[in-house]
This record gives sequence, C-alpha cells and structure tokens, in this order.
Amino acid sequence: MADNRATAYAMLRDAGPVLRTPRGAYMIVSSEAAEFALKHPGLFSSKRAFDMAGSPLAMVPIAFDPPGHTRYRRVLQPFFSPRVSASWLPMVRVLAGELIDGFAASAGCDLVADLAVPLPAQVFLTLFGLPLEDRDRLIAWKEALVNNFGLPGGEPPRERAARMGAELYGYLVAHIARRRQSGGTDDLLGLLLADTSEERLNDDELLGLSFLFVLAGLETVTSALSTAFAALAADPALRRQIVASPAVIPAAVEELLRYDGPVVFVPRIATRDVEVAGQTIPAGAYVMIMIAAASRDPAEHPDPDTIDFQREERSLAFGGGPHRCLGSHLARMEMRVALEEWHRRIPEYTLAPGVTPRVTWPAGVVGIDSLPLVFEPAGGGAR
Amino acid sequence: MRVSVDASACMGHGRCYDVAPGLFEDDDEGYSIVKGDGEVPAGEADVARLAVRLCPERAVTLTGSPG
Repeated sequence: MADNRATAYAMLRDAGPVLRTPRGAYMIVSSEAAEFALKHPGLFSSKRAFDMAGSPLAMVPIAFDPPGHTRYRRVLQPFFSPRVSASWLPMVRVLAGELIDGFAASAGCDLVADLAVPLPAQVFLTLFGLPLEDRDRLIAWKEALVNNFGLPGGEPPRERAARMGAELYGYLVAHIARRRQSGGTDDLLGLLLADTSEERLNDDELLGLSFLFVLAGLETVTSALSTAFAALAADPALRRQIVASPAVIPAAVEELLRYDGPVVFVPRIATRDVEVAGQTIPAGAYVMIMIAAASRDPAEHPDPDTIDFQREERSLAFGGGPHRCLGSHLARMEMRVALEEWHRRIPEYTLAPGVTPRVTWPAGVVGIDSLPLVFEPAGGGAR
Repeated sequence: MRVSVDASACMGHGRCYDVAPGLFEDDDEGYSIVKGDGEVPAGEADVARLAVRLCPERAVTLTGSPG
C-alpha cells in the first residue's frame, strides 16, 4: 500500500465485491456495490460512523443522517456551490502564485512542505477571515488530529490528539464569537454568519462545520496534490500534455483523483442486515466503502491502472449520494489553480535523485509526506 | 434528442453543466437544471452523451433519437 496502490487495490478487487476483514468489518470494493451503499444512507449510517476523531462536537454535516443531514446540506450547499467556489478563485490563484514564487528561483522544493500543505491551510484561513500568521499553528493542530480521523474501528483519540482537538476548538470558538461582533461578508465565514434564513446554522453547528473543514478539507487537498505531482513528476509525457495544453487540467484533476485520490474509504455503520453483491452485512457492522479501489474497478474504468486524461468516466472520488463531498467544487478549484500556476512557472521537473515517493499507511487518507522535486531555476521569464 | 435531470437524484456534483454548459445550468445551490426544453442541438449531441456518462448519480438521461 505504501509503495504500490495498484497492487493493493487489485488484491482487494480480486477478493470479491464485498469482503469481511478478520476484525469483523466489511469492505465494499466494487464500483457498483460502492455506488449502492453511498446512495442508501438509510441502510448505511454516517452518523454512527463519525462518532470519533477527537472532535468535541458533532461534525456538520458529515456526522448526521437524513433528515437532519438534509437540512444542513440545504443550508450549506449555496455557500459551497460551483459559483461561490469560483468567486474565491482569484484569491487562491494569488496564494498559490506566491507560494510557488517562493521557491521557483531555486533548483528544487519539497512539493508537500512548500505547496501542498500551506496552500489549503492558507485558503481556509482566508475563507474564515483568520490571519495567515496562524498557519503553522493550524497545521500543527490538523496534523495531530487527522490521523485519528477515519481510522477503522473508531478508536478513541489519543491523549495528544484530544488536547490538540480542545485547543483547536477553543481557537475556533473565540474566532466565531469575535466575528459575530465584527461582521463583514467578504469571506465564507462572514457569509455564513450573515445568513438570516430560518434554517441558518447556530454557533455550535458552525463550529462543527469549521472542525470538519480543518480535518477533512485540508488534508485531502494536501494529499491529492502530493500524489498528483508524484504521478506527473514520474511521467514526462503526462506533464507535457499539461504544459502544451493547460485546458486539459480539469480533466487531469479528475483522472489523478481517480487514479490515486486521498480518500481510500468512507466509513458507515450498517443499520440492519443488508445483502450487497451476494454477501450479507450484519446490522451494526462497521462498513468501509472503498472509494479508491472502486475507482480502479475495470468494470467502470477500463485499464484502471493507467493514467489517461482523455477518460470520460463517472467518478466516485468525491463520493455520491446525499453525503457527496460538500467541498468538492472548492477542492477541484484549488487543485486546478495549483497545477496551472505551477506549470506556468515550472514546466519541467523530476523527482529528486534517489527519491521514491511513499505514502504513510495506515492513515486516514493516502498522501505522500515529502516529495522533493528538482527543476531548472526560473529566471524571471514567464511570470 | 432531449436531456432531462432527475431532480431527486441530483446531488450537485456539477459535472453536467461543467461539460455541457449549453444544455445545463446550476441553480443557487449547485444543483443542475436543464436549460429550456432540453432539446439537444445537433452540435451538442456528444457533450449530452458525456454528461450522461459522467453523472455520478446517473441522474441525467437522454431520450429520443439523434437528429
């Protein structure tokens, strides 16, 4: 898994569309079965699966089932729509450009530490009206918490994670209280606080959303950028398609998310005995919908272990059904902008000599910890 | 040929209006709406089929014969 996801996901697929782990959890690995589970929240509960992660409060909206979940989505969806996400694009472009300019004139960088980690953290801070100086604190909280997130079995958070969770909670509580006073609608938090609709979120619910944003919205984009750049750095033909025609970038983002996306699985709890692809999953079982394996199911994706930007196939990278990733439009935009701004400045690059990208596993998401890349220093040319 | 969107199935992935902005548009919450009566002009048949293929919820359908 750490070195070769193709082999790992193929082993899962070969073991059957639904399999039982030695500890009594169930993995749903075929695309068809994964789609079924995602679209039947009444059979596969999200609420019970997310009672964990060191969050002192229920994460909005992921830790809810319909109908409570439906209200949250109705309230939140306008704020995360493609149109609103697109309105943040110029801000993300500036942030990405500044980060890349910070190292483009040298001969290399660590793609993870220098771009993939700081970019989504700075986007979050900007969207919530928080100072960029808080970036490293935010990253430290996130990193302490994120490995408690989505681990099989829902083990209680370790002591340090619990402490960091409490610190992040205090930080967000104080900030939301401050913003209630100061107002302003030029960022996402301001828009959410200014919502006067009958169904608007109260402060506790906004906190739950903020917590989810930090835990799920930062690490996923970081990880997706790390695996995307690892794939591009290893394959000159792929990155040259991007340089020759930046218009291919949105399709490249989709394909790179399919091929090696960060979300290996989403957890659910079976609400009653349910038969999926001929296998009975008992009531109360912990169920892992294996998004990453389903995304390489040859029934839906021919030649699944090959990266091909010309694919025209439906994607489960952002899930599906009522829990479809709320931040998908923002995440896609961040990835697109990062790829555009990078390739405009640094068209040719390779993995640093002797480096084999490895992902940390097991973990909540698939991501590379460090990705040293080398390139020709940019000489004040195409800026 | 005509496209339609099953509103109860649409979850706002936005793939259809992304690839076929001539046929679909987004509402304020990001859900898809068919533009006009959904009639597919001759030049848009390919993107209409693409929208059907890409929808993660299988909410987009295409009816009638080409032309």
